[in-house]
Amino acid sequence: MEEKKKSFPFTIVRHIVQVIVLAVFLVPVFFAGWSLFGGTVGGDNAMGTPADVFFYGSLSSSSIFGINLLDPFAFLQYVVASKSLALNALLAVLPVLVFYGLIRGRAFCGWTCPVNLLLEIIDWIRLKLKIKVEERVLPRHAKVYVAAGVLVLSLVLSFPVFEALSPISFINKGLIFGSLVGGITLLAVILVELFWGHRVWCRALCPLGGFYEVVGKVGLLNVAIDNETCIGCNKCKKACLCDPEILDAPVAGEDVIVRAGDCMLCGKCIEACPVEALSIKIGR
Amino acid sequence: MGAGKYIAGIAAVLVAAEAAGSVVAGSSSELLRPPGIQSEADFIARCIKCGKCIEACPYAALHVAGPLNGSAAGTPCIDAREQACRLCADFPCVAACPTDALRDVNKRSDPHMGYARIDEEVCIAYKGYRCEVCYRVCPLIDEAITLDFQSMERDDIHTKFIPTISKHDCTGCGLCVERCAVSEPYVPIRIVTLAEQAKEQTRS
Repeated sequence: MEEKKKSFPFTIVRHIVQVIVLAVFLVPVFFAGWSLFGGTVGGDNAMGTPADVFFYGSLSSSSIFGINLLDPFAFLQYVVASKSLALNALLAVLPVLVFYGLIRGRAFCGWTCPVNLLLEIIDWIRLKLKIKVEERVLPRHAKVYVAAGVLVLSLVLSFPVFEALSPISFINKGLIFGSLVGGITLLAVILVELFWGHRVWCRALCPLGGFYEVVGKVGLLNVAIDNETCIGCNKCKKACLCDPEILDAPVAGEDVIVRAGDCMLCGKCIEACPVEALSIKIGR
Repeated sequence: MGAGKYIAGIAAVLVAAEAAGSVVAGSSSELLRPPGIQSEADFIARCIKCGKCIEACPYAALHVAGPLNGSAAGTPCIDAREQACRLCADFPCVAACPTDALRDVNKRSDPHMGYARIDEEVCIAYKGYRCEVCYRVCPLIDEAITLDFQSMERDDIHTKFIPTISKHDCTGCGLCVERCAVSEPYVPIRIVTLAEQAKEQTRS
């Protein structure tokens, strides 16, 4: 493995992007001179705010040069919970849907989500601690049903249910303005990840990932395989951050790309391939 | 691994308890909401807890509701005694909201976050002191708060200056609460939130 390192360094670049995403929401807070974790104290005079900066917000919703962006799954929850639809909200969702729709739904999971970064860190810690866990404990499609369940519950209970439990919120919004929503979920995710199964949350349970898995059925960027070159060593499957089975068809020579909506374009399989049979190609 | 399953069970119970907590506890009715709230139920259904209103408030009057507020955890609220809403002319918090949880306010008299209620036992104006602080600081002076001149009992020359709140005109901004001169044994003026009003209505 060590002697040949020709493939694009996906993991390193991805970690850089993940850290940038984590930090970029804090930039407007610093610019405004506000404190992190929501400790800002106001006075009698109006002061500069993070919203005065050209970019601000959180992963749920942000604004860039006055263009609003909105998490499409939060949008769906809001629509079913409130039984209403604001034009503003619809316009804010479209850029996000088009972006991930064009690339690949779960590129969000692989490149943007801070919980994925955390799970990769936990993976590394568990390896150091030599704790062994099962590779697969729950089916990967379970998260699509979790997502559907969240929408049904939001409809019945009349509030956006996942937004009250999201572990992503705890990291992202906790840093920006001190929200503690999702802290318990995050604790549970960490426990499960450390002692039960490999990447259980991201692979099988996260409703946002479930939503993006559905979006990922389309997308222009795909992991493509050169069936002539592939030697069937299955190293790509071992490296896959999503689920080994999404590589079954391409490695067996039955498909030329990884077609599953689950693929998060993390590039682990490409880096692991000893014969450079895998690459990211445009089009499907 | 056997132990792993137990831990998974514990984790599942944790999340289930968290979820059940947010449903059973419902939305905490004492939370004072930002301007543009229509009703607590409408607000809770629409708010995705993105925090943009919090980041848009030039007075940092909005902060995030703590984790023990049921489904309202993570939503924006105002601690009027700490830092009241200044009713900005352009309502940046309302403009920031992506899901119209805050909406339909154009001028300073439009918002209805609640109305102020005075505790006559503790308010010093009722004791005959000339205070007027709430009246003077009210952004809608002589509309939301007026002074009602009442003669003192057993006294021909002195007058009580009783602050009187118009439930209809009061926006619930809470500036009177922030500035009230009395704090012992407690602050005699508070904002009755929309959620509390709804509860009082169903009770009566």
